[in-house]
Amino acid sequence: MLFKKKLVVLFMICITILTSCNNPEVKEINIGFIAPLTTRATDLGIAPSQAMKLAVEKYNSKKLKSQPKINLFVEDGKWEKDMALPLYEKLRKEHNIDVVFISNTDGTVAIQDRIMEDGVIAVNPLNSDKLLSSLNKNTFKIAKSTEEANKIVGVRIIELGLKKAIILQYPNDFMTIAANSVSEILNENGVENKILKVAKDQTDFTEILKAAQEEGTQAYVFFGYKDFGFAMKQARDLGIEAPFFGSTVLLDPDFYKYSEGAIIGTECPFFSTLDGNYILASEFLKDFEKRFGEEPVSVWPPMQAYDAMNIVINELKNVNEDKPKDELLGDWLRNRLYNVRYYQGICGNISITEDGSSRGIYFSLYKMESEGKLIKIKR
Amino acid sequence: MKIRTKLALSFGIIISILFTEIVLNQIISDNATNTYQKLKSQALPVLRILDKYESINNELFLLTSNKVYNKNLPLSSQNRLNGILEVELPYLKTELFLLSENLEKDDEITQKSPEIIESTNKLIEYGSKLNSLLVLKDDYSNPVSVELATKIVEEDISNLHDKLNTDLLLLKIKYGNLLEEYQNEFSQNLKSLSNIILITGILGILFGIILAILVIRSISKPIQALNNGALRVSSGDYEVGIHLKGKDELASLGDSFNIMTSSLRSNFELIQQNNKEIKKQEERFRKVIEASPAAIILMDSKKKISLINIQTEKLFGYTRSEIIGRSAEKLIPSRLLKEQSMVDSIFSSENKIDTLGIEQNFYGLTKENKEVPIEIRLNFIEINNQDMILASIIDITERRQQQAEIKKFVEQLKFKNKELEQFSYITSHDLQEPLRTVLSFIDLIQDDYKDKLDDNLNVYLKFISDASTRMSSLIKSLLDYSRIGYKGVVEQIDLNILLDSVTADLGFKIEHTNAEIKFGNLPTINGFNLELRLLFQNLITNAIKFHKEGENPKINISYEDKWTHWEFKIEDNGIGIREEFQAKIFVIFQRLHNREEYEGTGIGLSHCKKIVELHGGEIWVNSQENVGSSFHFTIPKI
Repeated sequence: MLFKKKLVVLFMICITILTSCNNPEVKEINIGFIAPLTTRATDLGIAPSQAMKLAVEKYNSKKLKSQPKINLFVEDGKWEKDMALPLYEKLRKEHNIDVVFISNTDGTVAIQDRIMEDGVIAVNPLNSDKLLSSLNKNTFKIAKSTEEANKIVGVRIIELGLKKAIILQYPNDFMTIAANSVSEILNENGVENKILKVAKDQTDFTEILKAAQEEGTQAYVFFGYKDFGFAMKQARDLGIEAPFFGSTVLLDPDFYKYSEGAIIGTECPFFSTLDGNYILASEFLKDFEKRFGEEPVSVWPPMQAYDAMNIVINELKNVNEDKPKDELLGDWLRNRLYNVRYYQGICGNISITEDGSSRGIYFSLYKMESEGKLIKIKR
Repeated sequence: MKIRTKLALSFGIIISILFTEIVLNQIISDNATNTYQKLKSQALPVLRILDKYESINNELFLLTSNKVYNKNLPLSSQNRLNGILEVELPYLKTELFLLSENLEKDDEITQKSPEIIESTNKLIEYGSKLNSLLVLKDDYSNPVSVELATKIVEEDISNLHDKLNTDLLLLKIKYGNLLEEYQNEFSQNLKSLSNIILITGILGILFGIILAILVIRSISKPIQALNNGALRVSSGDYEVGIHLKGKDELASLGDSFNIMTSSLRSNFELIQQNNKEIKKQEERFRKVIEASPAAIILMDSKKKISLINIQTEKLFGYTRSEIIGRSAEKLIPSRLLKEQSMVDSIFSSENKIDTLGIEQNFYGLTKENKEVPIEIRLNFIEINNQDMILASIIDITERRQQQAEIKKFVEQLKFKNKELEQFSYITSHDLQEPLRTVLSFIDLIQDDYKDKLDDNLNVYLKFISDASTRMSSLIKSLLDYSRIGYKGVVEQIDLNILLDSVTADLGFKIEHTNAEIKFGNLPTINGFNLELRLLFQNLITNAIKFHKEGENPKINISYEDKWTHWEFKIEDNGIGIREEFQAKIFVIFQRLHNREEYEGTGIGLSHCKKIVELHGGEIWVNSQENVGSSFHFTIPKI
């Protein structure tokens, strides 16, 4: 009897050893997201964080036992550069994150040194530009090209035959790049233009606008956030009838509110389900609405964030099968992301290039028809 | 051939067929798997990439053509063109490269892929160039740009598109044929597999059926014979024999069957002999039961009668058929049955023998409803795991009459004894008075008429005085004798204390004769204090009195614990008693010496005997003349 018991115990030990050999080395992976949930540009934070949550939940519910569980921790960066690093450190300390998503270009720059030290992979799911591409090898941009997207505005001004433009710009990297890309093409095509940086919390633009009006400006470009709603209202109040142009963030409800309707007719680069994989994108929006009770106000930020998170998950799910034991998770994931050549996402077919930026997401020109509604402009 | 050999052979053949089937299946499955792998890893991926390549190539050509000739090209078309140039084509060429890396070097796609990749790179290059030439609507107004763009599309891109399409088409035909070939091969493999399963399955079933029939035949016949034999044996025919041909297990079983029947026959004969013996024993037992002078009834724990003997029939007047199976309570008067507690306590006492009737005044009830005094002995026994009661009943009508008579005589005797004792007491007491009167008057005569009496008369008076004194002494002794046990009370007596007291009382005599008395630690016994004191005193006094001349008396008192009684011994070194007188010494007033030698009345040992008997014991003497005597007496413990 005792011998039989010993045999059973031995058998159980063998089974345990064998099964433990097959057990995944990585059981859970924590991902952080620093996003503007309050204060400014919340359309770039709230809906994207929900889209990422949706992607993580879908994966966790369908994952195999051998695949790691993924946890997402979101922190409110308030669209402030200075908050990026403390929040990153907080996420590292509290959750030991291996991947950090961050939508603010300035913030992405701010955490550069630390992610290299920690071997953490950073992903910007909203913007991809030359500045970001010049950062370290652990930084990826799974998003539209900022320059290309905003260049559309410049092309539009030229095609409309407008000869003088003013570009009001919020003081951050993203808006600087956007303004520069427009200014560059306008300059190339002989359109007189100037970039005017406004103060961070400025709400009174009357003097600037009055001066531009007096100078005979034919196009007004507002590359900034909701506070430019005041500027639009003030411009119309001054009797300025020239067309308005904006950036990708016009659908912030406060923008419309502050403009008191003056925003109607403003043209801007934008991305909708029509610009991506319409079937997959529509399905995503349905799932989003089912999960969170309503569709996002601005669809492109959550769509890009959803694709960015899924591209990362698509690689992380194979960590226990493909990652060599002696290779660090950060190194392994970086190499895998650099080899993404074709990912069929809701934004289109996406590839990641050698500088860590993505290709395949292309914005179109839209016009604000009514509150919260944009329509595509035909040439 | 043995059955196991037959079965092993049968299974061996079937297993061989199955094994052959498995091997063939395995070979064909391997072929099918290889074909499928080629199909999956070679033909299908190549065709998928070629299809995609062809589609993208065509789409690119259309988009570029559209871009050149349509200055209002929608931004979505431009975006799509960008997507093809930046994502789709780079991806396809990478996929093609990776695929060709995994295929054989002589594979056509491997050889062709560098050329296709080169064409793709050129397409991307021309596409990008076209994009940079035509950005704004105004660019379409620039004849140089438009001419250059048209040339790129109509010559460079168009040529590359055609070449790529031709290459892709040729490869598609080649790999399409290969796919068909693999599919046919795969289909052929599956068909072969199916045929083998069918043929081997049919063969296996046929062999199985044939073997099963053969084996069943070879087994069922002998089993039938064995079955018939077993049925005959079960019906009592032990002479049956089975003869099975062959040397298999069933033939061996047939031999074993024959041995078994032979053994059964012997055993049956033995059982028959044993049964006869048992019957004899039963007959003997029955006779013993019948011959018993007592009535015997065997009943179960519920008092149901299962056996009786002839004495029972005689005593109770019932025949066996009338009483067997009935309750034993039928034989007990109803008035006694009403005293349920007594009856139940008797019948429920297991594992003991109990007696009813002697003291309980128990009665039996005859068939004629006559009550008969009976004595019952109940013996609780176990027969065949069942508790049974064996009752032995004796009619005590005569004994009861005899006991009544004996009791009557005992009462009469007791009464007479009492009378005699009373008579002795009264006599001895009343006789003392006239004797004392006689002695008083003799004293008066001798004192008052001392001078007047002659010598003869004085002698006569002295004789009369002595005789009267002796008579008084005798009467006193007789009085003492009669008083022994009179109004005495039994109590616990420590003999050590008692003997200390006796020796103290006899201190003078002991000192005078230099007597030596030894006694060890004596027990405490139940008895009459005064009488026991007299007993020891008499025996010690005798031992001192009858000591040898010139020798100090030595007396040793000892005892033995005889379980039910104490046995005491008083030894001396006295003159001893001749054997012929030893039986007389306990008789009252029996003297062995004349009064001149040893004074005394001769009643001392009679007292001793009476005291010992009063306690229920016995007294005797062992003695040797001139050596000494040892007096023994016993005192029961209860």
